[in-house]
Amino acid sequence: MKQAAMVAASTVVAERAHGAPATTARHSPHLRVVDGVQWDKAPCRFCGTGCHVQVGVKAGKVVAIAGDRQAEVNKGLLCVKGYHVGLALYGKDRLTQPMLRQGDKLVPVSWEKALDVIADRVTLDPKGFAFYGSGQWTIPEGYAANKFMKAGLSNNHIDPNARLCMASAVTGFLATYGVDEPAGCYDDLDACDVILFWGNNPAEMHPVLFSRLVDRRGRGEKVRIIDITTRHTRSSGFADDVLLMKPHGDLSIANGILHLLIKRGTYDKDFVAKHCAFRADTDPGTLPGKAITFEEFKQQLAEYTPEYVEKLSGIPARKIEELATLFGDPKLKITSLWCMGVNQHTRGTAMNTLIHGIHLFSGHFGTPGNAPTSLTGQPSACGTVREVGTLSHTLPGGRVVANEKHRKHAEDFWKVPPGRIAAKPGYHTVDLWRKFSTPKDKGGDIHTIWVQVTNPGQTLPNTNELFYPSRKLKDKFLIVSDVYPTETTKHADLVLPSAMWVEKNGMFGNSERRTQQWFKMVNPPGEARDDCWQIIAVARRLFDRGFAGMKDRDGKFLFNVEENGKEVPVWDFRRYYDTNVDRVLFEEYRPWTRMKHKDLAPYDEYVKTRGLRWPVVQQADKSWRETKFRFSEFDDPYVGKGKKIEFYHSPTEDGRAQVWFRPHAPPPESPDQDYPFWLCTGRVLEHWHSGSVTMRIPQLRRAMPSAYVELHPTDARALGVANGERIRVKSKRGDMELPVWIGGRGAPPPGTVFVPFFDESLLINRVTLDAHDPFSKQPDYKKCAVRLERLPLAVGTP
Amino acid sequence: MIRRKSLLGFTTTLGFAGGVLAIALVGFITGTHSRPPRAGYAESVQNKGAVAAAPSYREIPNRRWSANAGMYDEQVPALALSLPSASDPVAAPSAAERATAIAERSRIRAYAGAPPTIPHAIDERGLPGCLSCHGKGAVAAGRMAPMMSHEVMQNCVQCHVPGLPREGLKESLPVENAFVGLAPSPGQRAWAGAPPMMPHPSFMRERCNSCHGVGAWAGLRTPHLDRSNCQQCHAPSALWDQFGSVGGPEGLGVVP
Repeated sequence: MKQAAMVAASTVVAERAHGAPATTARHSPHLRVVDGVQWDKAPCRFCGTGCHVQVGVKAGKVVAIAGDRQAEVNKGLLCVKGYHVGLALYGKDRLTQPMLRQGDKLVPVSWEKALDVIADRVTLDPKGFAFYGSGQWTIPEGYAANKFMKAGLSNNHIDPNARLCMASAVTGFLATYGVDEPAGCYDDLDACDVILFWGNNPAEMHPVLFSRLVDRRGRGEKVRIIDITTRHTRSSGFADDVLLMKPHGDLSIANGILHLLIKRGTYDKDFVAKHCAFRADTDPGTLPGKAITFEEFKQQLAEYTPEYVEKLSGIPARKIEELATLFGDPKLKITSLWCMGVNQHTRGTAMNTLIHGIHLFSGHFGTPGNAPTSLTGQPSACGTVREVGTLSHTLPGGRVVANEKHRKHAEDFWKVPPGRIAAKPGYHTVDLWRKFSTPKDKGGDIHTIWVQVTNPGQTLPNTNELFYPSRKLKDKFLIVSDVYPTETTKHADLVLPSAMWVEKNGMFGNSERRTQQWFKMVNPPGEARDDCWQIIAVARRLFDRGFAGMKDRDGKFLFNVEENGKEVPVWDFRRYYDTNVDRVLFEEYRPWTRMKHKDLAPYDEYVKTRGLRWPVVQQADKSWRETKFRFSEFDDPYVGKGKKIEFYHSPTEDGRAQVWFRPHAPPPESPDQDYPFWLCTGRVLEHWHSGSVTMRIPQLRRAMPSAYVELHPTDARALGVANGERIRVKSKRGDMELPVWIGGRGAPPPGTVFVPFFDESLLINRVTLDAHDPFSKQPDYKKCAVRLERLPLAVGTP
Repeated sequence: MIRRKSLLGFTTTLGFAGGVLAIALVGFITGTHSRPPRAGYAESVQNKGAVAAAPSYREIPNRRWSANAGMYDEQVPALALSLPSASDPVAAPSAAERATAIAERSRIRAYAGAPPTIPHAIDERGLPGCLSCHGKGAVAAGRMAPMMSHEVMQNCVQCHVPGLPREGLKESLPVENAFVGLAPSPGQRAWAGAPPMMPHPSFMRERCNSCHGVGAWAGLRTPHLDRSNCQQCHAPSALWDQFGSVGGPEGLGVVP
């Protein structure tokens, strides 16, 4: 009583912004005002974990961040990036006006001029215009871009950077379950007895999930962590078992486990009989592959004895036996986590299917704590790329352009004339940029790329071949929407300043199928504008010029937005927030999600919550219920009664998931006499992606100011270099000079070096390889061959 | 160098970390291994001269809240001796002392409520050994290691990152950021002489002694150390602690 009274006396009671009722979903019902600071919810804009933060705003500026205690994902905790995400908006070199290249300079121009330039590039040749986006696009932004390209331009040349990040996870899910995205969720981390990290370093990359796991130990619970890795990381420091494997050794480890489960008869015979079928590659390989019998499966695995696996992977045979013992124990609850180590792999699809296969074959699936769960690196790789289908071969809701029925759906949803959607998939990322860097007369039929929310000049592999050559070709035009100057804007022909994060409305979809929503809280600086508005404004410019593609069947504008039966001119930025465009686009997108049973709730439901995991299904009492464990009868409403487990999108249409045989195969490039070291690239805790945002946050920048090359002391001694000294890392494709860090955050074994890719002044992707997985087209950033060269002492000595 | 048998039976070398900060001592000797190094890492230079025993992580579940806290049983109490005891009289802080305390705190925080950066070097790779000094708090060589304000979490370096320029890694570009963080504010009082309310969330600040106890900045120290039930008089705010959501689905309570 007393306390409540004091609370009331001491705080300003929260007011609803602008007095708008919550039902219009234009303003947050969560707004709290404490000591003159307005607090509201938003998901963090960095990784795929999907933490919610509370954003404190005072006088139109973000002034503080707090972990959101009502968020199930993070329960109030954040990582250092999340705590400092508010500073992301205030780097002093924010882009604030459109700029057009004139000679070797970028010159400020008006938005009107910028829109005209883009419209000109489209009309020049709509088929050669491409869009390159990312898993940082919000769901409405990705949906708008997809519609702009596939319905507006009848052109499928749209691909996201997520191709470089989780495409192999997608093909792994499709080949196994016939439908994308994990069946389990983060709740598995609270329940598992054993957790395997397959080439994953969540202590730095998904810190909040890692804490959710290891803090269980502090509460007296036991959880055994097994870290299968090519280098000792912070996660290894917490692991009970660190299995240091040779690069590319993971397939043999998985096969070794399957081999022993069969040999010992400890696989889950009942689960396999009811829910699984077996599959192997065809020649040439196709994503569906071919059915094989259990006998064939068994025979093909016969050679993967622990001893043979030891030879291929470097992991001692007895450790393979131990892993098989764990998977052979039905009482243990086992979760697998993986991310880039498995996905950025020329055998990425194969390795993804193998991890699913081990879990299915051993029956460690479908109950809390038993799950194969792939993580994503971007906040909306799942929501925007995988669900909205912003890849060159997909349409929203799990559809593909090559399927006539799916194209028909799309034409009906988008109300465009039959035949508008092109049947041929567009170029995937590597091909797209290769075509852009190839002269037109040599088959380079992409003349313009519009890049939003990503930085390919830094993050594409082998940039010396895929990125820079285009910049010397006169007829190639690069448009970049971004918030800060980057390696990509530096080389762009037209730069558009964008609004970011809480400067706009947004929706993300995280790694556990959770769809999240936030409202605009502050204004973007200068003339920076929403990415979604940019797309609609260009579409409108084309519409006004009579471009047929921007009209629907009835001749209406493709992005027609109406309120109370009256068109709202949202292409005029002054009018963009007259309505909630996010809500309009999301409601238009929602019906798409039903086909694959990825049902989303109405926009207004997401306004009320810290996200909901799909399928979100309406109950008899009209409430909306999320689903934590997909394919499991106890939780998933789409599983048939009495079935316990049902894979209702099975590739074989019989309710069964596919357990694949995938043989070990050598990597595309291995160290040799001239290039004797393995190079692995990756991230660090403090920096996110290409660092264009986190490098502008003083606390993060100071903690990790520059890239480095991590090497083993033995190798350092042999080379005669010491900590801080610069050396040259050189591959067949390019080279980069980096400071040496020995005994640093990670410890690679002898013969291996590691370089993070966040530093725009030390671009390691000039060195990496663009060889990619045959199914997912995802390149391997984790291994290529390099040599290390000592520099003359005068250069770069600390 | 002191050579001793650790609690866990491994012979270890406890070194005084020269160089970075004079205060360093055990707290900065973080990230250590109780297991013999595995093949391939035996030559690591990282731990040379700074090796202390850490408990195996496998044992931690059985040692509640004690990640590394029990390791330096001989050292930490000795350091803690330099702290005043709860029965020592503490004068109410002066305005100058308060200003110093707030300035010092703000120096290593982006805004009021941000996790402080670490004002000393750490081991980058091993298990965080933060608890050895920050578990109970310690004062040495005129510097203090405050007791952590929240319950023990295993991965300290997830939120707290080094705030000093790094040796060897140089910033290649200048970084300028116009962010102005929320400034700390004093607690509100119903009338002059009333006990102030908490001016910050109590979440992650459950241990008031961290900032207001004996090992804290003089300007923030409570003048009544002997009273230990802080929330009896100093009320938290439901709004600060995010329980004031008016439209939330969780039914966490509505502020009238």
